[in-house]
Amino acid sequence: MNEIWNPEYETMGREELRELQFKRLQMTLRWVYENVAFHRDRWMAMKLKPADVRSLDDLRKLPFSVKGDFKAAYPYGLFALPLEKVRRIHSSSGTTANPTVVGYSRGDLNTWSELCARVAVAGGARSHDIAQIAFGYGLTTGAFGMHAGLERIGATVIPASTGNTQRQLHIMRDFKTTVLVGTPSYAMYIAEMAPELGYDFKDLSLRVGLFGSEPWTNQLRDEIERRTGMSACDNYGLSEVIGPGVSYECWNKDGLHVNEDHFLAEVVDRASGEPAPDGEEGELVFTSLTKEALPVIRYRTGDLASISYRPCACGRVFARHSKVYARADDMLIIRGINVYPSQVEAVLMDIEKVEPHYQILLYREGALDQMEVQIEVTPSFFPDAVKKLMGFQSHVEERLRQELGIRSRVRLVEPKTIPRHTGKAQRVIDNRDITPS
Amino acid sequence: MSISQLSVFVENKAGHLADALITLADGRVNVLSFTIADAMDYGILRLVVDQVERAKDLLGAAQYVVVEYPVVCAVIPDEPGALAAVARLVAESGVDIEYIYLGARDSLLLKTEELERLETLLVDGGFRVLGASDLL
Repeated sequence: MNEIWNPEYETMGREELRELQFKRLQMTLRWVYENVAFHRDRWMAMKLKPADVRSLDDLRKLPFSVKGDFKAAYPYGLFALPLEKVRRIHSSSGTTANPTVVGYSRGDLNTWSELCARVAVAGGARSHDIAQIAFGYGLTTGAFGMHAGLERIGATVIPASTGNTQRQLHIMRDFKTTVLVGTPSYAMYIAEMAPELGYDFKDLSLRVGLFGSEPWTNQLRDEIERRTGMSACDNYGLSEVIGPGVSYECWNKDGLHVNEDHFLAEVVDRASGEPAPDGEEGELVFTSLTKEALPVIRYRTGDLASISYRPCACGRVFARHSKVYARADDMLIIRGINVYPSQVEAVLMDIEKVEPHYQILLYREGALDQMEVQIEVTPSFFPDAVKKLMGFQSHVEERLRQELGIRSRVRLVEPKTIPRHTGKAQRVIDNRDITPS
Repeated sequence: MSISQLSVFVENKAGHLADALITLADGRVNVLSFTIADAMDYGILRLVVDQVERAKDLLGAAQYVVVEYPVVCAVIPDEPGALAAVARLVAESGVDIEYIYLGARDSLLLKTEELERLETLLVDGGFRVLGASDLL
């Protein structure tokens, strides 16, 4: 199972890696200083020049950048290359405010496919595989990144795109798909729909799932693996940094290896911006080391994780960050308590008979926040007695209270009434009117 | 000699009960007995129908959760004291009844884990107990 796409880099010694990182960082900072007014102006205001960064640790002297900077610089203000050198544009799906626009040079596209090739191989894909990509082919980065990476390793790629689950399963069976690429929630949906649409995973050839682009729990992984029989690996990325290919799980499934030869990772305290203590959770911050069209400097991802430099049994030297369970943006503050939807998911998936479809509804009663967790009743759990159903509800409510520290209300709903998503799942409906009166 | 009752999970929302019943009506299934146990957000719709398998297929295809349970169906006279007589008989026997409701044609439906015991009790007490074929 263990195979490494690029051992020269993925297993290079830590010291050698640090030297490479520093050399590449210096080049990136000079490149950015010369070509991106946004960064140059800010550094000049702080009386900083690229030469003032004399070590990797000195990177901390430089200011953070955030998503808002992309929006303010819409569309091309952060590009370091003129458009005639930009080969590809991707963009976030934002509909109201300015979307986040990102660009790739020819070199960037090459780097990107290299990084996604590492993701694919670490997750178990090989040159003989047939990979079905169930990410949307469009402005977002998921499909194109993984498409290029899988082609690079020599796999046969099927650009199925999202939606039409019946057709996805049809392709899986007839084209003998062995690798499925998409969001974990869509994989779960396919797993759930297959029996209803007359497909049995025993008749399919799936063996590897490469899932990403949204937070998901290990419990959901177990459920997908149990239902489909494939091995499911997580990978992480965001379009501002490059798209998929920032980090990836190996067969150990114990943290995601950061492609450290191309990205410097920091973990910072969300409030102070200071480095989080070793091994503790904080916000992931990335600096690109090789990007040409759109370098990012200390980009705050909004994603929460810790980083470990412990050696991994797979042989890769790259540091691992913990599974991203939560985006800082996803954090709900309910009656002053921080709650992540992934915590709710973990509790639900731990309880027998609960289907992995749920929705969180927030509303106000008077001045008080209320949280309702909706779960679907299934034939496997439908006792013909109100008493038993209510007992089940209070059991789930009690488990949630223990885990989250706040009371919530569990509502049982009819099967298939919680919306399914072919892209990223939307778990939370916030109906609290928090506009100050 | 029990009969089949279908229990259906229905959310307590406008139109949901009608939708479930229309599903059966469109499939030409006749509802013989009917009750709802209501909790706050949902109810359990309990039905005795003329075509059990067909009703299960129709509701299942429409994504309802449906479970079939055996219940005892007794005929009681339409006169003062009849219901009380059954209740007293059952109470004195110690048979545990989960729920009870009236159905069409003077029938009384009783749900228990002790089917045989209840049937014997009712028959010995002078009541007529119906089987599935009696409903057709």
